[in-house]
Amino acid sequence: MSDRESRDPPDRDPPHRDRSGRHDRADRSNRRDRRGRRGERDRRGRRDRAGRDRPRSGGRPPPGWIGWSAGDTAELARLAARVAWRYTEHSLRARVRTAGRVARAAARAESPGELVAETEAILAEEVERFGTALARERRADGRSPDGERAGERPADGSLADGLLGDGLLANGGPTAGEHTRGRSGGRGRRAGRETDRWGVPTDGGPTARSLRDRGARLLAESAETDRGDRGEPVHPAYARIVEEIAADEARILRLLATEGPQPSVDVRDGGLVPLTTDLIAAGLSMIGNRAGCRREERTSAYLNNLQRLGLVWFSEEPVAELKRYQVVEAQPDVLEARERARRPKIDRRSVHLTPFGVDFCRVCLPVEVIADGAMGAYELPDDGESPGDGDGPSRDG
Amino acid sequence: MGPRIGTSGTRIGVNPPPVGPFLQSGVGVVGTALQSGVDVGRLSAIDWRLALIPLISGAIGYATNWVGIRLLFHPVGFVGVRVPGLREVARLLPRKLQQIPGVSEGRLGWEGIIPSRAAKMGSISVDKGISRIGSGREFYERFDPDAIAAHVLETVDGDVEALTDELMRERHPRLWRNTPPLLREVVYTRVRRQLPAVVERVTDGIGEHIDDLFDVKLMVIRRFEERPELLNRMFLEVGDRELDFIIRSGFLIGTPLGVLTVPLFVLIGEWWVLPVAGIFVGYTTNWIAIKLIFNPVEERRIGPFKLQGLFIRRQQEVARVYAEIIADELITLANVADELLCGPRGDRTRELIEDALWPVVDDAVGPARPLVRLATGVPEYDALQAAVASKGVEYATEPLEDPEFNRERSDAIRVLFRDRMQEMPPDEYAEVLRSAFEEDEWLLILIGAALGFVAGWLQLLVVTAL
Repeated sequence: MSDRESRDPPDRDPPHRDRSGRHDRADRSNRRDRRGRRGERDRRGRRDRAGRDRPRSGGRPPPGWIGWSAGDTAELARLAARVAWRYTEHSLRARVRTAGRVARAAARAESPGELVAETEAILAEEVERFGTALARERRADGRSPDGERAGERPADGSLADGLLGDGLLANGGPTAGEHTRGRSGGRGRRAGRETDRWGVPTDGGPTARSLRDRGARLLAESAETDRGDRGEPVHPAYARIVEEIAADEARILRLLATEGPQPSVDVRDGGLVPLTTDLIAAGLSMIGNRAGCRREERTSAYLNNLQRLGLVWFSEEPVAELKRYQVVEAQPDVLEARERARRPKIDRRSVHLTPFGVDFCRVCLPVEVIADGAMGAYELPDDGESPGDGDGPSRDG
Repeated sequence: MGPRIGTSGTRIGVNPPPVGPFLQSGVGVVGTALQSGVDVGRLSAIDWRLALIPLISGAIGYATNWVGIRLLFHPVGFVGVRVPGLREVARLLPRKLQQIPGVSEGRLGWEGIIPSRAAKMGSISVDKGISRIGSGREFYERFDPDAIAAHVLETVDGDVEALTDELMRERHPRLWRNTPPLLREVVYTRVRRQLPAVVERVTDGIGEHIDDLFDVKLMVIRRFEERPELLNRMFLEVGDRELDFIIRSGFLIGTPLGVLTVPLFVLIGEWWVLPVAGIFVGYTTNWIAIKLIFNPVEERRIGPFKLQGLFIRRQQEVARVYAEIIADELITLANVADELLCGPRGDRTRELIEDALWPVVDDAVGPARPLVRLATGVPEYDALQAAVASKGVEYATEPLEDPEFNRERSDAIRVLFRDRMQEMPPDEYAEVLRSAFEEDEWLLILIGAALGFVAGWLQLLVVTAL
């Protein structure tokens, strides 16, 4: 145990090591809550009193609390109560309950450290309690006859709103519950049933009827005219795509999004028969290296996956700047392929993002997508419509 | 010899050059000059003029090689005009023609071959040279992470208060203003106490994961793309003797070739012999010069003579110069730091630094951390940590760019390169520099031929005008 501990990354909070698991949980839930606008205002309104300078009395601080006096401890307790208040404002009942618990804890606490730990635990439990309540509520919502989409429920300023406002949870109702429960150490409840994004259960596998139902819903949704946002704010496929790409692939997408199409080459052997060539090696590029992939040798497979998802396409055309091929053609793998050929011939190709890929990068990656260069030839008017990208607003942006 | 030239001379007289419409129109002057020369017809006159041919030939060889080498290195950056439509046509041209600087961009003009190939040559010089001498890990170890850590600490130590203040004011003005002075002192002390461990964690972490953080080839390519003149300097300094030799050999090789041209000129007796011979001389002088520089790789003895490629023979000296340039300009601490932090893998290094710095904030805030965290808000708290990290990156790069410290650290790299290169077997060593421009040698030779052609015309004019 001690051996393992020493190898662990240095703990940020040694006194509460045994609780770290739990407060991490609370942190994560809180992070979501943060998105709620209410929290923002609260924080601003209250923090000014939180850390005010106080006259220091001469009490000897416990070890690890250098510079903390008894007065500070009192201040700390007040801070704790405020924090608790803020984080549990989802319902009055919970607020009263939590505030009371914190107050009792403050009265009981013998040291500031204990108080902090205590507050943390209470908060974690409250958030947890709320998370499960939320999951239950959403399942009920999924089966509700009006079929209203979960993400469109009127905002009520609660923690639930914060959670739902978070894009991550907008699509997968049950996942929200699962995540919360999964993180809360598992209270022995089964995971919720699989449902689609309208909350229709799909756990029996798709049937012709259920698929038809879904198709009908899609069409009905698209027929609605009074919606301000012209359909889905983000493409519904993105959530799944994000799950299906490797970390290295995200780097490749970033490279293509920020630096535009990348050159690649095929090496062919002219052989002895004129006008015919044999393919020796295809798709050689520096993409893996330039993207900084950890598993550079898998670059081709990565690109296959990205192509499968419709994010990337392989063009037969060279990139605009032929000079860029100089370096590519001087790479060892190209040179080696050339050696194997009797009359080597190099075809210059390129790798681009599709418009779908560009939009995906804009939505899902924290990078500045170069609007003009990233797609390459797709910008030609006659090619512009080819891939099935239903997301109109992205292109006129 | 005399009589033969005489007879040939008369042969010129007997068979006057087929002047034809071409000569009469375009080169009429030359034609008449030749004829009139022959009409004068005396041996002595012909003799004297033909004797000039080898000399002029030598001059051609010298001039073509001189110009050829100028064109190899200059200008840095393209000089020329854009030709409408050439860019589209360029894709259909044979690859060799596309390699002529500017053509693939649709421009007609010139750029030094070496600067125009800077990125490619950088890439090859890593594959064939630098990577054989050492890996990124080795370079980093030679820089001595401990010395780097000590230097960074020394520079940063005096700034701890200022750094912390700046950071907290920037990110958390209210929190910091409300922090009791005593608590601030605590924070300073904690930060200062943590720093050595943090810096060590960073340098160790980089050392451990250097292969994921740093790619020598991309760094060299980037450097050469930014500063193509660096590559010029490398070739000019490393190969100064060889380049001088190429130019001088132009004369030495051109003269005997000129001697051979004389009977050709006399026997064939056509006006075009000289320009054609010019092509031949220009081509051959450059070709021979390049061959002599790199061949033979192994030393050969023929009687009292030792034969070995000029460049190969100078291995010890070249290794020294090469190592110096590499250590001063290419694999420097500042460059490596820049690649580590701003290269394509820079996000990884930053992550590593952030990871190492996070505990500083936590520790500085002390056991109150969870509350501070809740009070400031989790994203803000995390942003604070990220800010500490990016400030840390800023502060870490500054000392690494210190030229004094760079010079000090580059010694180790210089020694590494010099020693390893001096010990290289000749064939590997020859490849280090040659491979970079082997593929473009033909262009140098072709320049010789083209210049020789032009010079041949001049030669013809000189011979006939006199």
